[in-house]
Amino acid sequence: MKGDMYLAQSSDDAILKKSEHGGVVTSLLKFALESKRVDAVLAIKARNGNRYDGIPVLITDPETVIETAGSLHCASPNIARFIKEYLNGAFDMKIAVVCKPCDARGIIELVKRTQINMDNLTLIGLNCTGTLPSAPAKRMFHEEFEVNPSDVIREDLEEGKLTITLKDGTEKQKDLDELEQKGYGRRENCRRCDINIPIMADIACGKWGTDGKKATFIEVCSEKGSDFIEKAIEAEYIKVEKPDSRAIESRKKRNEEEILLARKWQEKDFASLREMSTEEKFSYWLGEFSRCIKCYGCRNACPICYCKDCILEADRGIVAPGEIPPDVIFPMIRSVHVMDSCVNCGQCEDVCPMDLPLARLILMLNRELGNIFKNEPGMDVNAPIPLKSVTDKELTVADVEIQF
Amino acid sequence: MSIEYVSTICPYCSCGCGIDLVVEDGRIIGQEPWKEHPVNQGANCPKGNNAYGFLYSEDRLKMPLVRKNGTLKETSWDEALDLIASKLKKASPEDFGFIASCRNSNEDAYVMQKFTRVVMGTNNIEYCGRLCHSPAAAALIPAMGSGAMQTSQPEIELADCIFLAGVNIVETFPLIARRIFRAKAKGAKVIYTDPRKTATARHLSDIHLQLRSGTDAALINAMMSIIMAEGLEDKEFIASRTAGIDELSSFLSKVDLKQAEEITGLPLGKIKEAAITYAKAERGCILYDQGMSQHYVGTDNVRNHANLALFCGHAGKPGSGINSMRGQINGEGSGDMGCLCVFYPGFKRVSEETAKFFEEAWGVNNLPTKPGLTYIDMLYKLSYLYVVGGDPTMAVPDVNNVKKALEKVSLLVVQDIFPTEIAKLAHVVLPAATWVEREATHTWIDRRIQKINKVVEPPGEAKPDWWIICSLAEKMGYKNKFNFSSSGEIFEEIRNCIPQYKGITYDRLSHTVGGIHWPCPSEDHPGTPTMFLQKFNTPDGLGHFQVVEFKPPAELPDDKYPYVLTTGRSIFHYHTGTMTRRTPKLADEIQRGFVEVNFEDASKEGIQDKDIVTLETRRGSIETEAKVTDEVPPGLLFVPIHFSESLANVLTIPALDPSAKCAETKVCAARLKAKINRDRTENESKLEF
Amino acid sequence: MDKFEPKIVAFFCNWCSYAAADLAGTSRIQYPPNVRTIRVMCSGRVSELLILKAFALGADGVLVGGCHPGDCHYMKGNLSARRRVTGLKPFLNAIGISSDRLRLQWIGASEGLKMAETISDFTDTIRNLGPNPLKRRQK
Repeated sequence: MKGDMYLAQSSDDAILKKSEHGGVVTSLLKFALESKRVDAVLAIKARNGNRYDGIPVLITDPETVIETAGSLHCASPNIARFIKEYLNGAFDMKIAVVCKPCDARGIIELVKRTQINMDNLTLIGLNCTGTLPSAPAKRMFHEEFEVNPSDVIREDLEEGKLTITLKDGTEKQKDLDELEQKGYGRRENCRRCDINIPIMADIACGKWGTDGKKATFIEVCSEKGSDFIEKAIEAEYIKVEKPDSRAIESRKKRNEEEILLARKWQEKDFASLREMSTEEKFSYWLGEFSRCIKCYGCRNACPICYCKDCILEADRGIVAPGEIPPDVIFPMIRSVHVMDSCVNCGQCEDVCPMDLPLARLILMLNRELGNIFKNEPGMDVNAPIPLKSVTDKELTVADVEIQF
Repeated sequence: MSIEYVSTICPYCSCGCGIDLVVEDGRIIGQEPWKEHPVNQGANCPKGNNAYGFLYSEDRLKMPLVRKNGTLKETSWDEALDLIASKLKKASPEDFGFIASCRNSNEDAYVMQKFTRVVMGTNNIEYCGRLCHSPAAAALIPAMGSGAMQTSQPEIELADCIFLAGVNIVETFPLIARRIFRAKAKGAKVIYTDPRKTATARHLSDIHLQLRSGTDAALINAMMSIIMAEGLEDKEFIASRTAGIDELSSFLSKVDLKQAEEITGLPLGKIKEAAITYAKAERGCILYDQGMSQHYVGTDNVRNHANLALFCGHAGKPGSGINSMRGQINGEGSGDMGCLCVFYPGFKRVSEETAKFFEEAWGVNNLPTKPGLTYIDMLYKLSYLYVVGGDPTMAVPDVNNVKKALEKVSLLVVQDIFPTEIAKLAHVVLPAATWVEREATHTWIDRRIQKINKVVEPPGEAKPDWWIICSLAEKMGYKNKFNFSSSGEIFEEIRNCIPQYKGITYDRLSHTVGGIHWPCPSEDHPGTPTMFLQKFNTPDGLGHFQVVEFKPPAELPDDKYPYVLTTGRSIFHYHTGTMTRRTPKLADEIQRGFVEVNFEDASKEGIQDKDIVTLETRRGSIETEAKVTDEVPPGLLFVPIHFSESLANVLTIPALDPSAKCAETKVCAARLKAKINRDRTENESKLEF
Repeated sequence: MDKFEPKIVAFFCNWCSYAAADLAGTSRIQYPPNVRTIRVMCSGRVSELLILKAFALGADGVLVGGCHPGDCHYMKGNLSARRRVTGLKPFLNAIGISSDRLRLQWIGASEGLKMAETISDFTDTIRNLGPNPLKRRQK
């Protein structure tokens, strides 16, 4: 049932051995394929064993699922885009998708826009408190941890610390906040992210609440997820026991701590933008936008941007062609068309060749709009898109201003 | 259905940015960021984000073509190569010339120069790098021992003063402009010389020296003179790491600053500001490109900037030096491979001694010992020409005369991926495989060697460039010297005769994201991001000053031709436009050529924005669209080089640098005539009553 | 000295606000001449693109006129307009263009006087705000 919680472990010794925690996600993927519940599973793999090069893989052979075991913190491939762009929105195939909260939220927003078929998807959510940007992470390991990046076999982000495990078994740890004050650490949008448990997926899996055991904590988040877990248990792919109230509490507490930290980063990042005077803001943003070279990288990467015939293309007559920076209408429309639905995936900032702080601006706007419209994007496929929908109730509001 | 992310490097410029191609069942269906790559970390410029747009174009060359009765007819490889071989066997060595490309791979380039020297017995081997970065070798080998970029792209972020000399870097190397923006965020200052107020001037530079075209040498002399007067030269560096200061100081003490002001058109206060900013910096970094090179005093310009770097001690440390910005995917590599009439592979100068070295390495006799002809000379003087991956009828100045010369040759072989303008004159056209259609290495701007893996099959019968040359060599009886069955085998031979490449292997490249910088003398050597840390590559290890006297451009405006015409590029297109004009998202940005005209000049000439105008020089004339703007100052006209139907090089002057033999495509005299837009005439007459 | 005269772009819906503007005219009610009207069938037609394009082109103020909620000729078009304007204001503020430059007003077909007052008041507001900062960037 939705809301059920389990402490789970893979029944497969090989998988359990290779996994960082309970090996549950890997076993569930195997189950999904072998039971033919799905046609394929979508997960992330370290290309050629390289932890800094995580790419999405579509797997149909259950024997190869084990290659995706373990968490890759130095990778952030664009899962929502992959499904929309290359898997025809999952309209032709059933897929189980391993996803972080931002991936799941991006998928849900695309479902709202009829670009992805939710019925064909089983979303296996992963708890997440952030990922590290690939190339800077290597430099950080080299300069701050003084290790060879290729010696790192595992990263852990927990309770404000970044702990790495090396090939020879030793561990090194640094304070995450210290690293982030220096410009290292997690991707910027990850620091601001306050949605760590993917309750918008079908199940949420993570290590909080396992208290050091080699297990995975599962929270069932939908009826589809409930059926999935029950069948997996029945078919003996995973073993489960009920978590005690202490475990559940500890998980809740950890989540709340991380949310507080995230809100602090939000305040800090947004304060510098909000505190400027009108003239200063204008100068600042026009200065930032003046570096734009019209690569369309942000537009391509954004899960919310789905228009096949984008209004900002050179042949649409809105933005004068051949100019850099493009006319100010370009960054304005880019922001305004997505701001009510930004899921804080940070893909836009990952791909900007001129380091424009797009994710910062758009998330800030999204939170302001979220307060007005009482909306959090990417949580519920049935929640209407704020700036693209109206309710009958509003017929009775006479004012030009509206507050929900 | 199998979908895979396959990593590769962008096919356009020399930054060498990583991208992931999305491949489904052997066909590229999309591209995604490759976030681990150290050059671009997942970001790409407009061209990079449309990297494979040109690859599947309908009009890719697919079959060998031979001209029969005036038209090109499809034929087999055997027939085409047999025909070429039979003709070449009749050619004397001095009458044959090979023009290789900045776009073919290292393996291709190596085989091409070997063919020219071993099979044809001549040093008449060149590549398009002659047209743009030949001054680097001519000026910087005497100055510091190498013309290659001295530091690496990531290290540019360390500089606290970046001097952009004649490089509109925001448009031509956006991912390097990013490094400079990052340096600026840490407090770095940016000096920029360019007669135009480009995107780089408007958004990146702090001090824009909007000097008169071609007056850079005078500017640098003035700057050094000021630095000396202020006592800001790096005396310790000069004493320990340079030679020739006495001659330079004596020369600088006689520099007339008032005269420099007049020549450059820059106020003295601004020259002083730039000079002091650069001299006082901890780590000054000069990045220069065509604004310096493409003059008939190109070598002098580069010499003088090298002087400036040495004078202020801004060389031999990371994020410093004088850095030539080669623009093409193998601009550095094809030069390293010896596609130059004065250099064998590894920049060993053509001589008896060098010939002996390669005779031993290749197991041959009688290699040519005298320098060959340079690129432009070849076009006019030789009867047998082989041109790969380039178009002299678009890329060389005074195109009308180039075409006349080419019409007279006995054999013109063109090897390319698209039917280019020059193919229209060719006797034989051969279809080449490109980019991810073959396994190959390229050497990017900061001596960064990376490997491109084969991802898709080439179209039709198209083959890798090296295969074509080796097959031709076989037809001419040299199979045993060109017995390569893979590019890997060629690379093994390359690294055994080019010491800088010795430690690089395909295996190492497969495991090293971002490639390896040469010099890399052994397989356990990590590569060399910055050169000259201890000493320069000159015989005495010192940097050498070379006194440069200012000479004005070859052709200045006069009564008949009152404007200076300059040429350049745009971010959305690439060189002669063969790839970008076939990529809709790029072609839509700028669909046709134009000429930038200043507001004052436009109003004087009665020209309005978008009018069709006739632009004329002593070489020829073109019709193009006027773009009225303040990007050019009064008296200056600008034409981009990308558009065959309004071709800049019809107009430019073949005034060649005497050392480097590159042409002054940045300055010539022009005039403008308005062609009244028919529509406007009709409206005007309607309003007249 | 040139006094700053605001250039205001107004999107008026055909059925209510445009009719009101007509009425103001036929009733000879005076109001400032600073508004350039664009008639749309419904205020719901006024997308973010239209409003932002007006600002990008240099409009000092943008006025959107629609029917009172409940009176929209197309039932709920004006409700969309309200949501969009509500969403745009934080954006304009964030990037340093005062959100007071964008105004939504419900003006019924019979409200000629209200139309004149709205235009008058809005023109004053814009005059006090000064020229659109985006104008500086145009050639």
